[in-house]
Amino acid sequence: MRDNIARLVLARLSVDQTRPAMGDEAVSLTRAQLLREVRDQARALVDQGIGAGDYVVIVGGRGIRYWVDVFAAWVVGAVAVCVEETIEAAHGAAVLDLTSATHVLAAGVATPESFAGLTEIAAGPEAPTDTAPVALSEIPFAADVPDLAGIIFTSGTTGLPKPVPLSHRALLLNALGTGERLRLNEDDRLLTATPYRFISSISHILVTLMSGASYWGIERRLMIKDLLDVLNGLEITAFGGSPFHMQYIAMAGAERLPHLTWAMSSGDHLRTEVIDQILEKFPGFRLHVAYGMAELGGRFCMLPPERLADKKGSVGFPINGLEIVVLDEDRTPCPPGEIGDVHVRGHIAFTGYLGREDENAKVLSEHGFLNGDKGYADTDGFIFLAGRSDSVFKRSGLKVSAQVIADALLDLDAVRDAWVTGLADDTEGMVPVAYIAWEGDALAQPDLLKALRAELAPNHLPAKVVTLPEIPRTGSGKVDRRRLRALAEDAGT
Amino acid sequence: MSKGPEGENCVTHEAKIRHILKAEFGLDAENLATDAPIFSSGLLDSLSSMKLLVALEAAFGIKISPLDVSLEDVDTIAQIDASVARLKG
Repeated sequence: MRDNIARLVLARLSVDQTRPAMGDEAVSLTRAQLLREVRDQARALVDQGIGAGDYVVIVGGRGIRYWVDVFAAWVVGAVAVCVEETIEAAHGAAVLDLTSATHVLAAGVATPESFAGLTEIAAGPEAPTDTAPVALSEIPFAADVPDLAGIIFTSGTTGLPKPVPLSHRALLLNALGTGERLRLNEDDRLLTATPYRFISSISHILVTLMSGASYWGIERRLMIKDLLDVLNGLEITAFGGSPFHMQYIAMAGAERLPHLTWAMSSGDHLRTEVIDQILEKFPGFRLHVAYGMAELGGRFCMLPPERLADKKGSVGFPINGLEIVVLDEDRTPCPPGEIGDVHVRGHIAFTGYLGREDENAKVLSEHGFLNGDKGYADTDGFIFLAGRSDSVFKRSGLKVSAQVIADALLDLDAVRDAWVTGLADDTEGMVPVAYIAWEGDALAQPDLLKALRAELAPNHLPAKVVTLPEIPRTGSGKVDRRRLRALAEDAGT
Repeated sequence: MSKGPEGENCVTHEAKIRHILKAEFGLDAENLATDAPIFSSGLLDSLSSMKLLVALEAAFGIKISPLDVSLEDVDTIAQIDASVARLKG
């Protein structure tokens, strides 16, 4: 029998079933209640003829019902295709082309238009009251499962989101490898404040439940006070969030967050000033800095709290099962301290985007997965990141593609030529800066932003605009960065 | 644009708020209903919240503690207007 991540998680939940398992602002489930919910939903899937290898679309944005559906799909060996409730039509069509899914689980939200033709499966009770223990033998586990447990999608900043396969094996080994670093205990209550379809949420829930701690999630947008209210109201002891969230925590301090003892930052570079503030304001706090990617099943590299002081700025070292190598342009290993391309390899490494052979040819080789980051290893093997190698960077945890912004600028009649790059920013990590050569008169910044808003997500709006007489380019059309810098200096920036 | 009990002063506040939303974030603020969600609808994301608070502080001469700001204080023009009025005393 192959690994089934649901079997392992639910087996852990079958012990001490009166303890809390999962919840949000509206609902909380004991382990028995969660097991019952998953059991009943798995039976509903079986009744619909869904079994091993079948694809089911699972829509987010509807509270912890989402997780019940994901675990139920895994129980019966189905492949959970995880999408957002606001999925765009083109992406929805691509999902159906890729998976040929016949059923959708979206109870609690309006089924996205793209999936209106699929068979919907109803939800169980919103707040179950039956707390009697559930035997694992009552749960209809598939006798065998395919390796593929689910599909999630990259953020799609450079086109349609790319489908990333999640295998039962990679999810399990990633959760075990991460869990031994995080050392959650049974009394911990861990909260995430990111959409459930994100790999960080999936990773957090697996590690949390397998550690015996309880998982709490919230997907709605939060201002700082809202986050503090949720953390305190649910008596959260451990929080998994982005560097932006860590900034909130640092601002609040231990007096405003009396229950919080532990946090994990992932998704972007965590500034050392924020680390210092957290350590100063939370005596004895355990702050984990993680480096994760959907392609690698979640967090794959972590800096232990006890090394924060002497390795500040590092993302640590890989979990068991993975190895990071930094290679130069000739694909030879860089010596310690020298920046190169980050490659990740190992027995749970990325196997390729589904149906994207052209993309896979660029990122997979005998050296492992070329993940698009630049970085270096120090003499102790700790990894330090140095930005993206392909003009894709993160702004407050959200990926930004400089190319997407440049394309939107070049579509404007007022713009003759444009180039966009990332600039380090104290608040947001990196922000996009647009260099523009205008066709005639320059647009005022409000008018430019208004025009771009029609095409770009908020995180893609330039934080700064620099007007240049021309964008200097080489004979092959590439931007001549050296000349551009000189022109920008002449322009007084 | 509606006038509240404070008459012209209320109109000025709302106009300033609309100006900030247009100038700082490129929103089509003139056509934004006073009760239209800004953050919860995704028009702005949470990374913009700090920038908004800084702009409001500068425009209205008020002091805003981010730790005391919840979504319902700033999600619509009407809510921002009410929050500014409260902080101005």
